[in-house]
Amino acid sequence: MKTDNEQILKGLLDTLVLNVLTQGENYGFGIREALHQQLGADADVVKEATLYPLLHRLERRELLISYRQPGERGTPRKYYKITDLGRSYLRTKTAEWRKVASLLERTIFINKD
Amino acid sequence: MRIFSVTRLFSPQFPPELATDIPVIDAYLQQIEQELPGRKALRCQMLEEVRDHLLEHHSQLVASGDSSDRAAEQVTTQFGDPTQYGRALRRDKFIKFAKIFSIGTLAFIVLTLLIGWANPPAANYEGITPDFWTRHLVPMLNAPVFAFLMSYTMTFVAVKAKPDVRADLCVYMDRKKKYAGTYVILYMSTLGVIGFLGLFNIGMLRSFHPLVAIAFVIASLLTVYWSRITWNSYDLKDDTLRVKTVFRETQIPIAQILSIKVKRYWNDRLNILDSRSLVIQWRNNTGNVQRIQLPLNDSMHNADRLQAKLYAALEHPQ
Repeated sequence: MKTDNEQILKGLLDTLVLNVLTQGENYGFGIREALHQQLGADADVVKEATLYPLLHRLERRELLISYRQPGERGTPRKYYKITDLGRSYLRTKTAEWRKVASLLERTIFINKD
Repeated sequence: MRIFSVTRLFSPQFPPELATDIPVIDAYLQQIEQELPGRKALRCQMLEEVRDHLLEHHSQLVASGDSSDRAAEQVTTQFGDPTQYGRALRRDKFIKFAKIFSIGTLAFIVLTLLIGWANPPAANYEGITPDFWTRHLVPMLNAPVFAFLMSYTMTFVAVKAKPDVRADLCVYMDRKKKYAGTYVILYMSTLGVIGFLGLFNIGMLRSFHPLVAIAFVIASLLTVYWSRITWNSYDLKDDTLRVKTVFRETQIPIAQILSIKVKRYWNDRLNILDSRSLVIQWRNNTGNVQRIQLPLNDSMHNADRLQAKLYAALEHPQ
């Protein structure tokens, strides 16, 4: 059974992945490492088995493009790069999350304080 | 027997090039591989990313002091259930197959009906002229067969061309694809000639409606025209993109590129062979804005790398 926190983070995951890629193109493991750094204690939610299908889905939606570069380990390495469409999607999603955060600030958080 | 195993029939073994010499990781990769459809080269391509991830993570853990076996156990556990992951990859392929199959079947049925409508019925040996449905039901039943062959090839046989490190950032098709391109050109040119002769009541299409003959000529000409990209090559060197086509050679200084847009065609939307055209606008040395269309597809070596490199050049102008 997933906790509410996990569910919320999973909903955020596409935004987080796109955000990581605004800092530059990256490959699967690199993206995972960047997410782990940003999420700290909540990093366990980002399972590899979730991350890769998400990357493939974002690519199908043309929010990312991918390319393979000859790798050091005998097989090519696949890199992901955010597209203009991806950047504009990220801006929209960020604005939505900001609205949610602001709503929480004005309601629940303020009452608790 | 699981039905997707049929697609692995001619090469059911685990691709040896994916072996890592780390038994736990190899066993894990084999578990995922068992869930994948398609020919060996395709399965290999689907697994490359996981393999790279596991090895990278493994090296990181070993470097931080873990033993190789312990690190391998940890990375595979962390990656998640291999069967589930393999199934997720397989599902993507089946969605693609179903999409191409259903659209292909519909397209072939429509084509059969159009040709049937344009072809005047002839009386059989008993002097009876069969009605429209009697004449066209059987040909229409061929539609799923053609669509199946097409979707099967596109989903379970076709693979992306490997990045070619020797060619750096040169985008090209290899010799086999050029042979295939030559075959398509010869075949479609013949169809075009048949269509053209049909317009003058000569040859195989003589009894068909002139619209069918015209459609044959147009479809053939368009296919021949698009097949020319087999001989295109694009070379990014010294901050200049050299575009060589059958008709001309163009040099585009990267720093002078103004915009790059992706143009997709209706057949690209089917995801048949991830193809697209990059429409590049640049300002030439005399100050004029020029425009060129660069057709790219996954049969071309380094196509995806060139696209990413051009985007990066536009984002971070020198």
